[in-house]
Amino acid sequence: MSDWHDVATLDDLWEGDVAEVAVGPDTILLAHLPGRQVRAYQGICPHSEYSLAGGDLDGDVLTCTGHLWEFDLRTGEGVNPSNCRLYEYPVRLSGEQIAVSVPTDGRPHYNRCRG
Amino acid sequence: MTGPTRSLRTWSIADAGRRRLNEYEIVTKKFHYHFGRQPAPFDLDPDSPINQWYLRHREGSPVQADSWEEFSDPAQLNYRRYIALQHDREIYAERVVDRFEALDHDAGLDPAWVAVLGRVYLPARFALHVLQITSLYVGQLAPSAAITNASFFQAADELRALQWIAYRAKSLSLSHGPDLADSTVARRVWEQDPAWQPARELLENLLLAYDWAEAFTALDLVVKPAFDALFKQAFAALATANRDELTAQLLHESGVDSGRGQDWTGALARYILAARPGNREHILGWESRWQPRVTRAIDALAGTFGAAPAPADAASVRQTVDQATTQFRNSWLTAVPAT
Amino acid sequence: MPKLSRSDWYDLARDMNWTFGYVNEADVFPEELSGTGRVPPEAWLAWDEPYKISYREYVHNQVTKDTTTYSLKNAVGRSKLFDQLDPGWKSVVVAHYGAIAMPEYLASFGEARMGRFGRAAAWRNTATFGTLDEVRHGQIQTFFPYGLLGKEPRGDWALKAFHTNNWITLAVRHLFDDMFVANDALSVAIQLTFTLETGFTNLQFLGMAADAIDVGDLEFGSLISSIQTDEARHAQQGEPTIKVLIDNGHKEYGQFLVDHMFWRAWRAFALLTGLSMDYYTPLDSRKMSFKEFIQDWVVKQFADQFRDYGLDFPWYWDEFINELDWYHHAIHTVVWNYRPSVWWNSDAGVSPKERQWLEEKYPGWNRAFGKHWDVLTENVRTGNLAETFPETLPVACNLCQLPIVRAAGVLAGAHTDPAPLRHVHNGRVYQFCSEPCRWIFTRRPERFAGHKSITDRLWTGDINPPNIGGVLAYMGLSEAEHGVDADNYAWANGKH
Repeated sequence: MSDWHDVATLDDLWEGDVAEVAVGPDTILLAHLPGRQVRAYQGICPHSEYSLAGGDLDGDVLTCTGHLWEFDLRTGEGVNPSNCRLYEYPVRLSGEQIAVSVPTDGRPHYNRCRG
Repeated sequence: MTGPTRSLRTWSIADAGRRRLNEYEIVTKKFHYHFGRQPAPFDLDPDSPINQWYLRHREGSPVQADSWEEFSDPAQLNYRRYIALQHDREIYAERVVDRFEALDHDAGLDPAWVAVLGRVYLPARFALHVLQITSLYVGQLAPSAAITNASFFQAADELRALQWIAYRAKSLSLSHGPDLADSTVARRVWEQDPAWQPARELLENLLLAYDWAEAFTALDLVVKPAFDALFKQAFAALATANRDELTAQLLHESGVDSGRGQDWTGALARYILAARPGNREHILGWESRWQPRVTRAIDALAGTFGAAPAPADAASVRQTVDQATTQFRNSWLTAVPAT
Repeated sequence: MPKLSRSDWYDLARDMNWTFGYVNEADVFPEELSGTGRVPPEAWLAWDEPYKISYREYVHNQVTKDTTTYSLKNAVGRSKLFDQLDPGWKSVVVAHYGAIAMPEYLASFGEARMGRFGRAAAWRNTATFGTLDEVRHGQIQTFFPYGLLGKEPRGDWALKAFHTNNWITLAVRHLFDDMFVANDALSVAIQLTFTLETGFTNLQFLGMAADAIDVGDLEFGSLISSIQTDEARHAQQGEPTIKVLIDNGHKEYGQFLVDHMFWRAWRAFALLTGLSMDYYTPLDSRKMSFKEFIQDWVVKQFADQFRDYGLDFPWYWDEFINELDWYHHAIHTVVWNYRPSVWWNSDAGVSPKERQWLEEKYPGWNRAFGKHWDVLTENVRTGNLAETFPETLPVACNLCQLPIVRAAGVLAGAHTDPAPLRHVHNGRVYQFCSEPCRWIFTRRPERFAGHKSITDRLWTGDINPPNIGGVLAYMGLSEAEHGVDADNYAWANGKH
């Protein structure tokens, strides 16, 4: 089971922006990629728990400021290192509104990887 | 504390409509506030010489576009990225030189080949210098910062190529005689050798192309593509045939810069052709004015390739150059249908 | 590393001088763009840059500098450092970006002018690096304020200022167009690299970087010192140029170019650095007064340098020295009075402690300027803020484009007559703030005559309606952008 939550609008999140939102205990990274593509992933770096929203987004690739881990935000896959992916939340766009679906299973929603 | 009451998310005058500008756009778009400014680009008397120069050769160019700001360098190079890129490329070039120097490469070259280097390759620094300073001219007269910056970086690329030739001149002189590092010798070849005269005539005239769009056309669409093909393809192949892999590899490395150059100049040519129907006629008119001189220059230099121990005949050199320049020409000319 | 060092081959990369055989050399170096025609072509071959660098060294050095500066920016950007800065210091930064970022970029035109129309290959190569440097400075000084937009929206003026006719923009644009954008290669070398960069900016940037670090603005401090290292390198084009000019019997012309631009540079520094050092920088962080700074760095060091070349002090030297005591104080008063017309928050900088410091550094400040601030203080204390805004507009000088403040000069004992100086050219009356400004204009009236000052524009109907509201709109300031007192008048209420 999961619930949809309105988390932001397209006016808050311009193309090229990343932002952090909280839904209950979940910290979520929102990203607006070129071509009106919005994605939602775990907000905390799977490596050592830096906030990903403070990272630098260049095209589709986000570089975490903690230890420069890179993620392809089109897919959530790690670019460097490549053996790590971000937990992804489903996203729905209706008009200007961005909604994210968060499972109501009471469990934490993030992947962890070791450097 | 009284402070500003609102915050801004992007430049107020370069708002891309809820799209975050990237670093290139942030530091490039709308920088040429002076283009088309009334009554004159710069805040001196409108009739003062440089205002008049710009009004005539930039604002008054027959080639026009509704908004030059829409053109972007396909590589989106700002200073920081250009420098980071070239830092890596120079490390590569240094390694190439290191590798061949460790093998004492120069000492093993055939003196007859070294004579060809002395006649063709080493004096090429004069030609590169003209390309360098003409790029600086196009840059300072261009109607947008995207064109200006790309052209300035290109000028620096030419200086890079030129300096490696200077390096090689000195290096070759250590095993093949001091004349190779004698400036008066190189200058005499450039000023007097019949093989160089059509090129010198062309390049001296290139310096007088003052309309910015003519300068761009002559330099970037006609002269430079041909010289780059002659040196970085045909002469590099000749070097390989004459067991001078160091010269060949340095020329190939410089060819990477030329490829980047053709990416942006081709893109700008396409932009110009699409911007206004009348532009095509001007570009092609200039092209046809400059092309015969370029052909003569290439022919004369191609004739020297036959003197190498492993020679190349002039016709095959011309063919290499023609093929490369035709391919580049097609990339911008046939991409935009004539109306 | 390749076996040859730079010095082994360097000369072979700058020997591309030759005699033109197919075109007329004069057409390759048109005098209006080159300016080198006074000296015979072969004499320019003596041009020798003191500092030498190869392309390889350049890209390796610069990538390190960029990495350091941008990393620091990223680190600082994530901190609260900017929010904690003193409001007066923020004004320094915001004023700087608006007035200086675009001119730095435009300086790439001046460098490229030398790179194409300089008369020696060595000069053109050196200027090619200078061109890249100035692209760097323009870009880095717009990228940094862009990063501040969320916290400091007036960083917008780094790009916007030169698209407007703000009066400060007019003054700096007129200056820099004269100095390097619309100038010939020879004059750029002498006026930009020798007079401004060697004489003033190198020193100013050093001072500013130190102040920035002192107030805790690490981002700005690192930016400015990184830029300064480039400037110190490419500024060295001025020396060989002036040397060739003097060696070939044209000292007088070199002197004229220096005299012309030294005065203009002084005017700009009084405006931008004078206010920053003596009013905006927090008192605790002031290491020396603006006057002391100019005396130490410009008067002693730079003047020694130009005398080493056999140049004389500019003819107006006494007036310049005299102005160190009063001119920037007068300009500060105007900027504060007209604070809605500038894009930064003007910091009055006249709390009791600050006034004490000013009187100590500038004996007589109280007599000449203190009285004016007494009245303003009283108006603020009694809630008559409206009285602190003037109703009329000052008259701008037709050369430096800054307000004519001769009346303050009279109070300071420097002038006897508050009236603007006048000159009639082709039937039009021009007004000037000073003899040197008038002299610069009258030596080459055709260079300046067709330009309209902000006052001219008001009188000839370019600004509608011709009142304060119309002027502010003409200057490109939205209401939210009107500058306000940086300290919210704490200085007057004794809370500072």
